[in-house]
Amino acid sequence: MGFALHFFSVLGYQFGNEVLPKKLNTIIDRYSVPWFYQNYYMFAPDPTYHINSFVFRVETEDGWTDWQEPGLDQLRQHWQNRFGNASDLYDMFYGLSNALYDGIIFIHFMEDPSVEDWFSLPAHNAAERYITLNSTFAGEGILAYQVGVKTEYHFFDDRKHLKTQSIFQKYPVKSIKP
Amino acid sequence: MTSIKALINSWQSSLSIGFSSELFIKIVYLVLVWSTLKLLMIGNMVWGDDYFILLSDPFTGPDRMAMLLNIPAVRSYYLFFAWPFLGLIITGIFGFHNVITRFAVWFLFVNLHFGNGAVSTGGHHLIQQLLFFHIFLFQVNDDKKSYLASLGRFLHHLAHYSMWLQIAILYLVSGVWKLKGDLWIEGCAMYLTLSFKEFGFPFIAQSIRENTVFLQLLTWLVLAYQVFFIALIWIKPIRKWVLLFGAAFHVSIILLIGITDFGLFMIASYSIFISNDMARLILGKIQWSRGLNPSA
Repeated sequence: MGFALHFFSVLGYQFGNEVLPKKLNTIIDRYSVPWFYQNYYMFAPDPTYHINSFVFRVETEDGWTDWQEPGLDQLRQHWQNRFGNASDLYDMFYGLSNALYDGIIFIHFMEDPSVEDWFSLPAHNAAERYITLNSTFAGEGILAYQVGVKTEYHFFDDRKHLKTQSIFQKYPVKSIKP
Repeated sequence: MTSIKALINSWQSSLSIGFSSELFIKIVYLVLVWSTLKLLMIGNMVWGDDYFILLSDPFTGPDRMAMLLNIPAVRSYYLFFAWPFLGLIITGIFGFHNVITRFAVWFLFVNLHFGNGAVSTGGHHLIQQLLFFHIFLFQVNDDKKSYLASLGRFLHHLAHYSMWLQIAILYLVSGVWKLKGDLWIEGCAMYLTLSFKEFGFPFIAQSIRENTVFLQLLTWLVLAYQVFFIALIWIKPIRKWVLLFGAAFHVSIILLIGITDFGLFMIASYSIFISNDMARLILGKIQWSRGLNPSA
């Protein structure tokens, strides 16, 4: 009986939103999340049309560096070894880039956003954590930094051929002078 | 009705899938050892203080116990989760596990998994569910005749086949949601996916100029496999071929698309479908079995 109820909840959680009564959905959600939370929307309903990449640059006493794309380094390692942890590091950068991308959309919906609004975004804080704690520039006297998101967008033309477009969006420069 | 009654009786009187379950535990634990070790090498970023992911701690009460590594103060102690987990699964590979260790493995996996959502895949979600069911894989010899022994054998069978169903649900959910989109039905999903270097290699992304019949067929085959798996897996004569197709599909996901964790977790989970006789043979050859002890 317990197993049957469990699977009813599992299926209800996945498919029940539109067909089951709201009260039952609430009970099912309460049972399923977090312990039995399951996400199987792999490449569904459609694969993604765009991929975001996290980039950043820092200012030291020597001036500004070029834009760095740490996820790309991990991707290159992953192409050479599918069984290492480079893909996990890439996934973390990918998650960060998506959060930064969402942050830009969030800010664009704000009326007259200030620089502080940009810097208070959780994604920006996470990016700062990476730059100041883990990047190759950590502990090298960073005076300021800037983060950005490169987006590669793929779309179909009239003949069903894929076309590519790229966008580069930047956050404001943040000074961290001591 | 009589056949259901007979099945329930046989599930109580004899453990007919014990070797199959034991082999499944060993294989899943083995993949988990690989997964945990590679993450431990960058553990401070994945679970520890040097994180740069967005943490999520919305729960209160007992539910918060599932998300402990989302609490910044707890992350300093991530090794208290990772090392016991590693220890339990390594000893489990050699047959040393019981209901308490299996529960601990599930609990620790839930926390390690939710401790970094960025590296999570559908395979992680599946393994989390399978580890829950594996708690109930009580190894009770057939010569034990008590009420508790019968209950243990019954629960073992129930948990074992629940894993079959859980794997099928993964495919069903993924397949049905794909049917709600356009690209899988139009046969363009593989084309779009492989056009990103992030889901393959640069040379693949650059060489695929248009959608080929091969890519279209592949897209529809994958979609059909996911939608119909839940029915096909119960048909014994074709089960082997269904699983071989699935294994080939997941190997190609590892080598081509590069989602290694997902591919390996899926292939490992397939071991639950290995017949008891075959599992007995394999376990006999690798000599890792402690035998079916009358423990939990």
